[in-house]
Amino acid sequence: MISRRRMLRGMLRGSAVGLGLPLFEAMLNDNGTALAAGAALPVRYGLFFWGNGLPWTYRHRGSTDTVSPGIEHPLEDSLTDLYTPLTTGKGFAVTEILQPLERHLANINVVTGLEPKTAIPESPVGQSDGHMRGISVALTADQIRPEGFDHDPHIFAVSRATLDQVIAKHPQFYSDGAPQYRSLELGMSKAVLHDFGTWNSVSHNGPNSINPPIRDAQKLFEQLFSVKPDLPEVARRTSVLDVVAEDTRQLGARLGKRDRQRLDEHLTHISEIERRLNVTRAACVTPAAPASVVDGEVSVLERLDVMADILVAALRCDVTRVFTVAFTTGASLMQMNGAGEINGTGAHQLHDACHGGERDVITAFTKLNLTAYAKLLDKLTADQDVNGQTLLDNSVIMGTSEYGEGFTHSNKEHPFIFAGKAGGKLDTGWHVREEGGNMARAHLTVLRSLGIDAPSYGFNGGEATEPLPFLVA
Amino acid sequence: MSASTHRALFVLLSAGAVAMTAGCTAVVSGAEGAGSSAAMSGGGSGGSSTTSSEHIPPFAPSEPALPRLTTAQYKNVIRDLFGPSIQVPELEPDQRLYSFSIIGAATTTLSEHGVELYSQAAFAIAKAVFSDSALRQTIVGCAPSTPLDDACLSQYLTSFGLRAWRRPLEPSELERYKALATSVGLGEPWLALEHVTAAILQSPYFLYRVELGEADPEKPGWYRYLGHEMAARLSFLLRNSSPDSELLAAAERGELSNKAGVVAQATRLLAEALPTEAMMSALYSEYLDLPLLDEVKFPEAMDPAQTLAESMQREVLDIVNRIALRQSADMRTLFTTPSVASNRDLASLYGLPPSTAVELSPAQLAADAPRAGLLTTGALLTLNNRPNRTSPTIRGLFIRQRLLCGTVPPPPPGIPPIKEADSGVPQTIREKLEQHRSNPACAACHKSMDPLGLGMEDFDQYGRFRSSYDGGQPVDAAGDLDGVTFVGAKQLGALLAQDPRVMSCLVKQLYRYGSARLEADSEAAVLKGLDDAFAAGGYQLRPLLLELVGSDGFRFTVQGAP
Repeated sequence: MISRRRMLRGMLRGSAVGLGLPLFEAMLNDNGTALAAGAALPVRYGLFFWGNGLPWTYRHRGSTDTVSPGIEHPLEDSLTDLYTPLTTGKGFAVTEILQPLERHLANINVVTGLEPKTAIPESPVGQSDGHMRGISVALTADQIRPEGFDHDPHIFAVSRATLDQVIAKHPQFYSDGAPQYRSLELGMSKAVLHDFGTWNSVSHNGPNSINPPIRDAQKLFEQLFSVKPDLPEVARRTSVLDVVAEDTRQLGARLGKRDRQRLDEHLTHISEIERRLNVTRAACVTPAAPASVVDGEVSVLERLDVMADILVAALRCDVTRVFTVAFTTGASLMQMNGAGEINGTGAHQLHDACHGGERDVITAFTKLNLTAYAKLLDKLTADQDVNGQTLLDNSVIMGTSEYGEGFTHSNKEHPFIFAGKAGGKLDTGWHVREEGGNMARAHLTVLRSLGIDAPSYGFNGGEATEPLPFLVA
Repeated sequence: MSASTHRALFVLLSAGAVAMTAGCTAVVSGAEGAGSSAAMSGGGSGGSSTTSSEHIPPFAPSEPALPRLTTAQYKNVIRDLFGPSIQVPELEPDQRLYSFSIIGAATTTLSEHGVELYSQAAFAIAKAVFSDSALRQTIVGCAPSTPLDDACLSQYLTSFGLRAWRRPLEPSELERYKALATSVGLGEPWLALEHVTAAILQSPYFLYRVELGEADPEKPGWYRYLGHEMAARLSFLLRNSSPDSELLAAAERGELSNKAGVVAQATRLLAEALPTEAMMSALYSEYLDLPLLDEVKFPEAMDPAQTLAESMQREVLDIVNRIALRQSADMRTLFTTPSVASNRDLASLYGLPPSTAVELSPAQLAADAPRAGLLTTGALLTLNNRPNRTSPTIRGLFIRQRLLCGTVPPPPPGIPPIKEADSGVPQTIREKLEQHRSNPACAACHKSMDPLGLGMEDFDQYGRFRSSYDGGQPVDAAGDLDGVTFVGAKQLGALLAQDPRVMSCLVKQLYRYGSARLEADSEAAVLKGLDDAFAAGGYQLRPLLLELVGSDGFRFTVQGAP
């Protein structure tokens, strides 16, 4: 059996025919540089998220500062930096932790040294918590929600929409009309601290409004590619949704402000569903139904493999242009041993291992996450986009985590690994070291690379005005 | 396969970490059990309310909550509407806030995918119902002609709409749904009825509990819940489902606009044994986190049949239902009762004669046994630990938060692990946690948790009694409940039974569950009244529930802020 990938390669050489056209190919202008109608080629945004940051270190390469001043590290002598590349600029060499991404060095930018700059109000206490602060600022560029700490235990940390939703709802992003889905949220590991709130989801529409990830390949496939109802049924369902929307409008008008906002969002969702029902997908190859993946953490990479295939098909078919992948989540409870075996002999629960100083476990765990990231990038580079470049060339992926170094849950040295050229807006292959730099520069860079006018991004002391240096002017 | 038993607190740090900077400026409950000066703002989730000297402001109602149906409620409602044959597809998962998914359901906003799942579920359920010719006939209740006649359509919309939306449809709504039937096509009557049904089942009037009330002419500024709204409030509290026909009829007759009518209906519902036990089981499962036991992997020798976690959960619910409902006993005896329920999984854990029975049956613990009451059940001893050992801190936190309604602030950042002593001799958990006491920055918070959990060290992380650790060191189970010392989990249970904060906390948890939100400061008077009535009635649960549904807090609201 010939794989789709080989067929696409064959198609590149002009030898294979009979496949449906990929997205928009028929709509390209003669040079293949833009759509025939003059609109820009679509560029995608993705988030790749992993829990628990990085293995800790005493002092970063190139840094004069200890990471956690005043804290005595019991293993000080052996705490060499396994992550930060030795040189900056282009042509840096991979480190032990970055090794899984070696084959993608030309496609990525590693940015080290960034940290949140948002204010930390003293009251109520707890707003400096490493998990919450790291997750919130990495996802939203804003401080955490103060009242989040009154939750039991604080589970809805973010105070505004996460970057993926800012993009998916930005008029300059889907300026030529939104595809079927404004965004897709995927999850892989199910070893979550809580199966709700910020611990479960990295995509938020605002406070108390999350987009829970789909963690089942079959469900994802059915959601995106199952056969749509026939035309008469689409018409009937549209009538049903019209009536439901009218109910929702009338109810919303009777509610107090807080619940009216909830109903307003509900109403927006209804109209999105109705719009989707009536959007026809560009003719393209529907992927095969996914192979079944054994449930459980040991299959987490396999789950990524299968779900990434569906995701790539969805991007290529322009089902969506925004996605989030939570490979693992904040305070992950995955169990792993020092050899990197999930549920292996002597396995420690990750969050425990982190606090407990099991550095070999954390190192192996971080490498697993970056192995997954590399696997996702494999898929995005293997698939060809409309203009003959790879999907990754026409995407920007922001890879990040919940904090810098797990041991002390420090928000210094928060890792960012960008991938993709954003259709030419980003140069790649850099190691940029910005010690103590404003984390929101990452978000600003993403927004501008997607053609969104953003003079600055970041909130409450975290405002950034200068993009990272690999943004092509 | 989600949150695990020891999820309780990332904040509590693993091997029992040492805080570097003070995060606990406001210390938790004092020794007298007086109201703590909780550090948290908003929601009034602070300490207890057992002292009578403090000034309690007069009651003022709070804004209405708008909970969507929880997954359990959705399933129950569909079962009650269509019978057990109709399957409910996947829905957006509940978000459990403050222990209860109903509070999450009133707080969070549905995602787009969540709304789509509701929509797909409604179409799928309607299709399943209308593909079954006997069932659809029963549900519709009249014989539709072709084309669909107005009489049958109206009758169906009126009767089914009332059951599904828990209130009669307004004339304008009837017209809108009739128009929908026309637009789908009257020529295919069943198809039209199916789609009308699918619309009713994804309308916000079905998915959310709309309980807004009307201005009460006798109490300026107060809103009283309408009869049908009160029927729904009673039913979702006591049945976890929509109102039955008697409740709807009582609403129609106007009987639910006064306290006596509400209490009469609640009395009727609470007299039905099985559904009331089901309600209590659902409530206590969430309150005590019982489903998290499913994540625990017990040693094989303890759990050859792989049903221990399930047995542990069923046992707790059996004890709760026995004391609360079947015996109508004093709820404080939950913490002291020597009567447990046992089967093949639990017998050896409890030192009872071996059994092969799968079903639980009553069993008595000896007076000199190390166990008595809820706290020494396998379930509560197994919950709130680390994977490979007990966690006195997490056990203590659970008692402090869930049973005493105290608060514990989050820890400061930058916390390294506890260091092992250099002697090479393995330390007991008590020795390790000593660093929580010796460092004042840690002690401020940890003294509210560790001394409770350390007193439970006579049981391991799977609920087995022990007098020494694996390394041979003797177990020291000395504990301290806010200045009162004790030894062992059984004694702690006895202290909790005598502690007024525990029953006051139960009242507060029930009130939150019934209100689908946290209590506001302005509701303290109602909580105080419930506390007093609970005590005066000998801490029996049914009378407390009747007081609760009859209280001003349950029957009145205000107009939502614009």
